[in-house]
Amino acid sequence: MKTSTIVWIVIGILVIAGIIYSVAFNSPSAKDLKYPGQNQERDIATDTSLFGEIDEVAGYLE
Amino acid sequence: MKKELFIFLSASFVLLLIAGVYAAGPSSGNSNQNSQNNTQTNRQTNQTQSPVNCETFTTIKERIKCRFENKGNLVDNPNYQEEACRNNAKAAVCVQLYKDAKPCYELSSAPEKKACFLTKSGISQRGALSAAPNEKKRNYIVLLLYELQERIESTEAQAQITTEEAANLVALIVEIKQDIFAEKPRSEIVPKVQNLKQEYFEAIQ
Repeated sequence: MKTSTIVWIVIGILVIAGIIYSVAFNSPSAKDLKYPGQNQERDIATDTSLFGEIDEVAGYLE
Repeated sequence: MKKELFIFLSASFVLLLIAGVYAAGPSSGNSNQNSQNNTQTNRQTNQTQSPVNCETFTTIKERIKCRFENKGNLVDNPNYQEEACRNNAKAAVCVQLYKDAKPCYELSSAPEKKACFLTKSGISQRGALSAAPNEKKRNYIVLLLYELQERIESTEAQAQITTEEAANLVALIVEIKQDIFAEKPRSEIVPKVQNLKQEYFEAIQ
């Protein structure tokens, strides 16, 4: 196999891997789960925290 | 050149395949949904009666209670609409919101579910809730209240609260959601949320 062929294959794989990484691992939602923004601070796993979230948003209504 | 192209395409295909398998992984497995389905199946096995039509009841609470009591034995209604979307000037918006957010309720992780609710409500996950447009905040509360409704249904299915208590709580939730869609002011919604919270924690104790 020619060296140029191998180089092109490596470049192709890197490009595709880059696209997959940016779509699957670096999307805004994935980022926000890793590094919570202001709206991600409170969990809603428990009933108390779910009510906490409802209370907070209700308090912001106009 | 053909050989190079073949190798390149093959490598791309394998990479995409691996990525596809990884992406499909987290979406599987919803223990709550499975548990509800099992409960529903258990109820269905005991049914010998003809299907019940709960729409004949006039009040929201009666209809909700009827659905609890006859889960798995209800008349199939293709025009069924969420109680909160009925008699509502924003019925189409309400129906669309539920439709859009349906996948969120299938998520088992609470942070992912919350992120999904925020997205479907049109609220940025990075911004401040207080700064979000009023309409989006109203959407978000509706989705959170529906989550609470699902938990009540699950709790009732596990016989941790009575059907009467569950029907009462869901009726309160529906009333709040209708107020939200009717764009009632915060001064009317907040006391109802406080009342719901009190009734909820009294019921589950």
